[in-house]
Amino acid sequence: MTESSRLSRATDALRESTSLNDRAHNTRARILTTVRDKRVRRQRVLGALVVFACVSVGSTAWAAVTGYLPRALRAIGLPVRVDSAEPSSVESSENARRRPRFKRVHEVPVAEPPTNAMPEGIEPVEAIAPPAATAPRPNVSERPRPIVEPPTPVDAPTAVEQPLPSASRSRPDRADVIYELAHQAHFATHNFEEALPLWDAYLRDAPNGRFVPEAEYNRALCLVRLGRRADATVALERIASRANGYRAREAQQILDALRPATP
Amino acid sequence: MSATLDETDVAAASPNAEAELISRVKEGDSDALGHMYDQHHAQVRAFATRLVGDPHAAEDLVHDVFVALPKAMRRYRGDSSLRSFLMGVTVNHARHHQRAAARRRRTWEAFAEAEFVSANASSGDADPIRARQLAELHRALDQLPEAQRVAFVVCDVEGQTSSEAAVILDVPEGTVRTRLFHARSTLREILGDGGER
Repeated sequence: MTESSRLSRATDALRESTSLNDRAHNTRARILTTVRDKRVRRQRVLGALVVFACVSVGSTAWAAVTGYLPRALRAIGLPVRVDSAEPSSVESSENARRRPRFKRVHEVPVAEPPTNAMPEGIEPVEAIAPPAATAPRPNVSERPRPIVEPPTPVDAPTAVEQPLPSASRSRPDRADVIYELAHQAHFATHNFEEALPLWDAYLRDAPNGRFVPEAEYNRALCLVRLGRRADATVALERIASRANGYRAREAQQILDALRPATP
Repeated sequence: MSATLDETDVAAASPNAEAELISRVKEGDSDALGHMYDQHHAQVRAFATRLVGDPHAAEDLVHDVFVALPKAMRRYRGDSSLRSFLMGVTVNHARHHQRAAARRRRTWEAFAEAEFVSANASSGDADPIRARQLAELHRALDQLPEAQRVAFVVCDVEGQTSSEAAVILDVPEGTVRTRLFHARSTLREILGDGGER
């Protein structure tokens, strides 16, 4: 038997072999069942997707209309761009007073301290003297409204509660309001006697708040401005040893500027 | 061996009827799919059996081919016969079943030679010599690369020309001839050793 004839015979056998048809009917039924099941599964998935899409769109639209959308986006870690610090026309005046102006709160702690609070503190040593030589009283004269009685930090919460009764509803909102008031007193009206207890109140109210680093730093600046060098040194040393980035550097610079004047 | 035509085939043999049936299958019409199965299942099953060498795997392959047909039909442009198109779909779905059939054959061989021959005799051949020839050829085909195996079955077993096989397999005709050449020479070498490797 030659090799080619062996292959040829085997090929002929394969070509002429018949296959069983007794399962043909069962296979037909199996095929149609599978196709039907796939169609049903596809329709179910499509239906679920449609429902999910409707719920997502509807809830997003509701959140946008009621003003909860920025908070919801922040809760899931998405950045929120606020075009204006002013509340939208949809919000009531009460909601506007209660809600802190996050854009200013975010920006100013980063941008303003180096320029607004520190130029005279870092450059010449005598720039530190102004907080001692120049009494903070001129700032007092510029005080727009007597919101806080500076000597007693305990008053700060009271001062907060007076203009904004709604601030007492929830602690996170209250802390944000305190922060905003402290920020205004510190950077807008330069009333450091008023700002210091407000920074203390924020740090007491929200020890784990988002703006604790800024509040601690600004509090230290208030102490410098008010001539309380010892307290300022303690606060700045804590910041310089714990913080990262520009705060630590600037705290160290202020400490270096303070030390030669310290006996 | 091709399936004999029956009345269903004759009635549906007109081009218009076939085109309408194809259109309905593309749309997902279950009745149309059933009709198409009735018309072509024998041919597809015969080709599948020769391709994978195992009737059980071939039955599963037939199932997969017709389940995939409504989606596969969207690619059918009518430039080849429907039979060739079905063979192409069968080849595309055959890989998994070929491997399963080859595993099954190796298992049978490890168990007993006689049982393996009798198991393959379920293909309908009562002749033990022919059954042994089939068994040897399937063992030899298992040793070929899949592309060569498919080229051999499509051309030498199914009787397709190399140009027709090129359409079925969606490869150039030269590629088909090359694969066929290597398949034949390898099979001769294997069978020349008495089927032992």
